[in-house]
Amino acid sequence: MYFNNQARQENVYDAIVVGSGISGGWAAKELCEKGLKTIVLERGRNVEHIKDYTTATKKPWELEYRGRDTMEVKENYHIQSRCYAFDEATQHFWVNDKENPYNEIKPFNWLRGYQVGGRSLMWGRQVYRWSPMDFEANAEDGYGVDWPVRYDDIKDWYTYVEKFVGISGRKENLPQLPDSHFMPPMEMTCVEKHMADRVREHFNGRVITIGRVANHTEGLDGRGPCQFRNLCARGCPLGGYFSSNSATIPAAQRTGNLTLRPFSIVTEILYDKDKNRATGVRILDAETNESKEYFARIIFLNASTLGTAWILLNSTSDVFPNGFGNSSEQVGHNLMDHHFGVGAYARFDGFEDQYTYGRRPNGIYIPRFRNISKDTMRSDYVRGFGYQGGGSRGRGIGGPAGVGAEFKESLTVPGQWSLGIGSWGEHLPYYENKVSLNYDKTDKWGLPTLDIDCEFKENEMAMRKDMQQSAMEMLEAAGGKNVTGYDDMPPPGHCIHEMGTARMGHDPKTSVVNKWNQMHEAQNVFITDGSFMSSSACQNPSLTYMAFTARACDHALKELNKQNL
Amino acid sequence: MMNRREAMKRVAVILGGSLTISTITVFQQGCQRSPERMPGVFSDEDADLLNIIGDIILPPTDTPGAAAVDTGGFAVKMLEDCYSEEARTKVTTLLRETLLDFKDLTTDEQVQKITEIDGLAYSENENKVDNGEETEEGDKWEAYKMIKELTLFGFFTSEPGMTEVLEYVEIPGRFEGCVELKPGQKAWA
Repeated sequence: MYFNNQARQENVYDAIVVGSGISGGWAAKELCEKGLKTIVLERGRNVEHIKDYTTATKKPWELEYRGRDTMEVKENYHIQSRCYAFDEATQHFWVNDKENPYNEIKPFNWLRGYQVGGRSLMWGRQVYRWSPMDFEANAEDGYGVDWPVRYDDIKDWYTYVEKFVGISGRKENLPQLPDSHFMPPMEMTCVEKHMADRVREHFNGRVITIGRVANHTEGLDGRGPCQFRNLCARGCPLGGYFSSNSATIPAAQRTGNLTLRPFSIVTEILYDKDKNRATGVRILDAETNESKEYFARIIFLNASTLGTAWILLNSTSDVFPNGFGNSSEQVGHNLMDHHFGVGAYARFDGFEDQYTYGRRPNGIYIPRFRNISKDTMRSDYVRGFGYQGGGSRGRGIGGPAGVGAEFKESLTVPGQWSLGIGSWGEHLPYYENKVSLNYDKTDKWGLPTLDIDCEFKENEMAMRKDMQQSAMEMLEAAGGKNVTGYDDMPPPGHCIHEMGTARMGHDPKTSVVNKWNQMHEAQNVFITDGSFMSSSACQNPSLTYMAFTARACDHALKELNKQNL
Repeated sequence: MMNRREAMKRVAVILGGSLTISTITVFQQGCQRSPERMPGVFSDEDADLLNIIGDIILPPTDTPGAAAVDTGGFAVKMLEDCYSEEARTKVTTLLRETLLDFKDLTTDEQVQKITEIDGLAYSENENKVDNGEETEEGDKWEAYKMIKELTLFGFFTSEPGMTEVLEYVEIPGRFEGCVELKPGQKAWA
């Protein structure tokens, strides 16, 4: 075991973790459980599990605006309020856009939660493994740099985190979407089952499965099970879904090794050029404006993709004039999101004697079926997409017109079934999609803001056509009526899957971190939030961040024990 | 039912420093002195009128109607805090011009009037109006649709609306994807 043998001084720890969201929570848990005295520096306020979920048990009529946003809220949260998970009951978990500005060189929705737990409180909870194909894609078609990691390297770490996270889902044995360690799956509705059967028949075995979701269908270490209220983004007092607040931070706290410091904006990584290593970080106390330094043997950056890029770019010195560990000039570049907001929906007649019970915080998933084998190759784009969606029975029959007792009655009965699917597509890594620091426009602490310059290009646009068309085809094959395609074309960022600004690779000249998530130029700095991602695949990425974080923590401890760090 | 003055105070508190003295004065004048003169500013009378309309759209039957849960007051609150001034003005114009003598009508006449407006607002011709051919009429139908939407929204998210008119289970405890519909079963809230 490695122990810090220095005399205990104030502000000296074994490990520093910057950020407490989904990957920072994991770093804290793993490092603390390995015996390292760990400080987690979180830029926002503390949010304690249960206690600070102030709206979690409010009934709809107990919300002043029944969940809707006032004009004032829309003004102060003009970006955040565009998010599906933003409403009157979750607003306190999102940043105030006026107080947290950034600059859109091209349209970009930067959706953020600055608090302990970060966005793990309001996340969509969909979790999917990457497949061997996803780690090979860059090498295969030449976009981005080759991943120095393959599926077999990360497979067991997926299992490791899944056992703790608690994921419900159904085994499908698909090469393009490996199964996780599952709790029992949630049920599909009649219309979803019907659609799954028709699609399997018409499209050569194409699969529709239940969403794989970090809502617990069984109790797990006192968390859950999920009670099917579907109010997750308010924070769950029952611990029905995985968040840093419900799971990893309490686990870290139980070791006695965790120090959690909210209101700590990390502004800089400190570097000792003689020893070629980072020595600690400087913070700005968000409340007192006081500057402080913290020191440790190892540093984990989990400040989110754009947050980590900001810290690296703001950490300049003689050795690193253009940003920490940025000799490759890749920091801040290759920014990706998933492109989504495109699909189709339809009405389904029949099933009149069927209904549902409970509010399922989950939907259905259609795993990728393009460019996965010789006979599924496309000539118009590379990579692929999956669909998420759901089929449910609405309320009320008849149209919006009408008044009186009969009209009232018509709104109280179960209505028609409908089913919609929307697609999540891979966004290729492009060097010119980037963030940089703007020193002219500073925030309320006088810190530089981010210029965000990111777009979708030809490959994504070609894919989107197929995403919409294939959705319509499947709904039509399933017997859907009034099949309607849509493409809302939300800007990058809106999917909240931003990644890639400190990419992983073999070569220090073209990448920022090595295969163990260590910075090439400062091996005691580990980056395990979305910024290390060398490609985006089309699966929701949080599970992959968690697996790589646990693996990097394991590697860090081995290296500490070998006195290599 | 919350009175106007209380509502205004609450709005002032919510908006904090962003409400200027003159705005507050305007609001108060609107509320207390000459409500019908201030486009886009609501009075208790407007809320009452919206409740009458609400009860025509969703009348009391074997379950409560719209007025019983004060959809009028709710609609006013939503319009004041969540809608643009332009939208609010369209609504007050409808209430004070198109429905100027509404309260003097008999109950039957009131029902007839709202039924007529409802029919026109959702009729096929209305699409043409949306394209800008008959703006004034279009504003009227738009205002009515806002009122109706807020009435339905307020009603079906109220406690009686959710628990007596629909069926609400606060903590379902499980999810079943395919269950047999029982005869007479109400829709889930």
